Amino acid sequence: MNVQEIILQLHNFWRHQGCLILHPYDVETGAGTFNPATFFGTLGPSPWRVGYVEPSRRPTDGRYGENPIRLRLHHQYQTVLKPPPAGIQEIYLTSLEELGLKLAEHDVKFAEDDWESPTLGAWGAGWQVWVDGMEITQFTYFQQMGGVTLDPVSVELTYGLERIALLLQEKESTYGLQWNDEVTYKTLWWEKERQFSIYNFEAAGVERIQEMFGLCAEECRASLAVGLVFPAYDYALKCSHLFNVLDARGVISVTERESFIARIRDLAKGCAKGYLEIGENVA
Amino acid sequence: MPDLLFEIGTEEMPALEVPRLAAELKAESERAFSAAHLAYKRVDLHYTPRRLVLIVRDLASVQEDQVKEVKGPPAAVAFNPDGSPTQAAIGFAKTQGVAVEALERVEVEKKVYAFARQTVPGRKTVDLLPEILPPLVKRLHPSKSMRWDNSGITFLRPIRWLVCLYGKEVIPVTLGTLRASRVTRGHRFLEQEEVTLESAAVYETALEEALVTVDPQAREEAVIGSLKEAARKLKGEYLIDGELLGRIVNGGEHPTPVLGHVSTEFINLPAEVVQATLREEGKFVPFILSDGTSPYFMGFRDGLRDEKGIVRAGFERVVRARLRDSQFFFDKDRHCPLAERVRELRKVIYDVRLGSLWDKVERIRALAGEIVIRTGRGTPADIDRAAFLCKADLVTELVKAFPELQGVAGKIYARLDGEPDTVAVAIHEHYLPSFSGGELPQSDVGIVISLADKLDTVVGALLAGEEPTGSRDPYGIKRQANGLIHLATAKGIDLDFLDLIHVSQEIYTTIEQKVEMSNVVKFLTERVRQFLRHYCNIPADVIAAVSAAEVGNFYRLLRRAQVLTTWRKRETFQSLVIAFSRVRNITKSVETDQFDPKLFTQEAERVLWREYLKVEGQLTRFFKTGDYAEAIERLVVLKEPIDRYFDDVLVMAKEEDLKRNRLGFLSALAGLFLRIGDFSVIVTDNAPS
Repeated sequence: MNVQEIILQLHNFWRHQGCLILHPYDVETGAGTFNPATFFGTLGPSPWRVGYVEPSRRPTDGRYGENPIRLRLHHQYQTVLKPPPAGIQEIYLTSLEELGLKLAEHDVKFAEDDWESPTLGAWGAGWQVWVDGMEITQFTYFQQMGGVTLDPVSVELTYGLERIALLLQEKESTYGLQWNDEVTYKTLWWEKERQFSIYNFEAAGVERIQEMFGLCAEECRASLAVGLVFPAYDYALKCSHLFNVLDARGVISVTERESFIARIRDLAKGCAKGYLEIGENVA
Repeated sequence: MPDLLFEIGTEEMPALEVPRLAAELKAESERAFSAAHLAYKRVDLHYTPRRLVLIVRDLASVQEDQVKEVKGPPAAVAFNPDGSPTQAAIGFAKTQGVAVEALERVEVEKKVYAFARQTVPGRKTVDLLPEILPPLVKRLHPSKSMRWDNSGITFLRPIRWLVCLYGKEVIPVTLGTLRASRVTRGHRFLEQEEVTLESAAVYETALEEALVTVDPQAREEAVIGSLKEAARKLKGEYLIDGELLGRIVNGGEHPTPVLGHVSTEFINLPAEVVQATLREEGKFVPFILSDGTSPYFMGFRDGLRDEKGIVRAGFERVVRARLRDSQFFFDKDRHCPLAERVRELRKVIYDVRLGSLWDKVERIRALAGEIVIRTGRGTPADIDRAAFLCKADLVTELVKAFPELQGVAGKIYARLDGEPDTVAVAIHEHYLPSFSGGELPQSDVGIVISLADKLDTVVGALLAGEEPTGSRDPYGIKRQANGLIHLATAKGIDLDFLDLIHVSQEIYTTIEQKVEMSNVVKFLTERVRQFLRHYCNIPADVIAAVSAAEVGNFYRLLRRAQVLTTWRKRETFQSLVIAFSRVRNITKSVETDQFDPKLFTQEAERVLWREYLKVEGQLTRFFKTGDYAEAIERLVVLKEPIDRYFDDVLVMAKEEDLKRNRLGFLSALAGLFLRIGDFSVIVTDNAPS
């Protein structure tokens, strides 16, 4: 099964589970969790089910296109279910079966992994799902988001699309994957990985990016001050990404790191608080 | 009597936490059943990542009858002078539900009261269980609790089903939205997952048929068995620690071995790196062959045998990808010699208050130099080089990826850089022992650096105010101190550490000291006492005895304690203790040990004095060599003259000068003993062996 078939199959599976099928957000994110469909969707009491692909940028994970599995940008398939149905683990496993994975022939383990995002002020309890020793999904019961204790809780399922494709296509390198039957992952992504790795590790203009970080943080706060939480959140996301670039560039010391993260967290918390004050129904 | 089965079915719980929670459940249930006066034979404990299981064997079907006594009004109020009940008694009897005639008179603290006594018949077990069992779950203490629905229940992971059978009968225990039934679940990947249980007695066999080994002991034996079998065939050894074993045994309901092969493309990657990658990245168990290579590993699949080799192929593919990552780190690290990396340590904060790793290295160099001077161990040049390089591998890619390779990576890189082998070995050894009772450094250079590093960590953390409290010990200084003490005693390090800490303190010039040095002394003294007690099995009274003498030389302290532990069982020693105790008791508050032999008036005084002089000379020599057994041998000689002294001499003489002189002499005599310890606190009667 090629990568785009996997995506279509997951869309199809989750739409039958009552999920809205949405799209990646158009601001850089480090994970599907940062997409407003998850960040705001998990807040408040209203039921919410959604599925979407999220290209996830992790500048420090860049390897100039030289590592078979570590990527500066990978693709997540993100599902959120609020509240989670009691049989959510079984539903998830069925989704793998429908991708053509005969679970009875493999080794499937739910390995403890309590996810947390210090920048989003979020944490949850759950697992990494391992198939034959390869981590293919992060499975989390969110307990808190944006510093707000969630009631009801949500389940987030984050499939690593490249990892699943490696398993299904029995390949060892991501670049050997078929995106569709004609185009390989390498054709689409290798040069981008190489260029962005050089940019993130060596070329990014440190002072300009620090300045941008400051401007975005300011814009976020100014928007929050007038009750515009969605524009504010976009700028919080930009801050998060710019911080990741600075981090990859190696210019953030241990102590600065803490204060950068705390600043972003405060912005995220402000957005969550503002969103709940407006009342989620308006959203 | 029937057995009770109570199974709490969950989504997968963390492997390393399940055993502790299960043990808690067992203890809580035993407590609850005794409190409810329900008799049983024993509680069996089973668990997997998906279930905590109590099986209470031969549980009584009825609670034992209870006698209930309630104190009522004083007899004077309850009964008229003619013995007939008053209104007060009638009312009391009514509220207690007993006949007024049945009220008894009982004296409590010299006053007589009316008492209602009645036998409450025991309730049926089946009625009690729904009250006893659900609260047990709430009394467990998971490291982290989560919510998964709106039932208000929190637990380590979502609870999804309950089974409760008393014999064949379903007990309708409820928890949140769940209600217990006789339907449990077999292995997740069986076609028919649900299993209906006839009775509690068939639980283990029914689940074994459904591919779930509920007994953790049985899973562990199976895992170890397959590792041994494979090791035998491969003519090698398997490498596993308690944590990895726990992850395998409690990470699945039916761990089944899958033997894998490491691709030959990694033939040049050091075996330690291959092993760490296997362990950390895949929870695989590496084997080491007689030629030092690790070309095989064993993974454990949760389920049936991997007949088609699909899991094996998957495991090997993952291992290849991970090893390529490790190879990438290794090759990258080799671009820069270890000695050049030391500079980078300036940028790594060890602790905001205690400076960078570079600062730590500088302190280790200074302390190690001092230890060389004081003990004469190792060559100074090697020690300084090893101290200089000992933390450099912390900034290598390999150690960033596999923190457990700290020291090991340093040793490998130092060798490849052409550093002396003694230096390379010491870089690895200075982290030892890495756990309580673990392997110790063998080389002199390794020993010295290890002592310096540990002492620096302990003193620094304490001065910064990080004294461990309860289970909070962020710097692991209890373990570091234990390692230091273990190393010093096992390797015969003849060095006063309570003196050396002042050197360590002087090196800490920049730090704001939150505590007095006396706290450091107190901390180390307490650690060494604990070490003697729990690690060396020294009896508490002997520890108290030797602690009265000098404690800073841990090696000598242990020697003295061991000698006293052997001696205290001998009859001669017991009479020596009695003799010494007489000397000790009378001189306890005496401040001087000065005396003038010319003031001795009795023959017994002069005899004891002459013996004292002889023994003192001999003891000085034995104390120097640390031969404490010989020293006690000599002290025994003093027993007779001491006894005679107390028979013949009145210490508390009327003449003040005679009295003061005698007390001064006895004080000096006591001082001889006190260099080994305070013999008077040793328990000699029925001394436990």
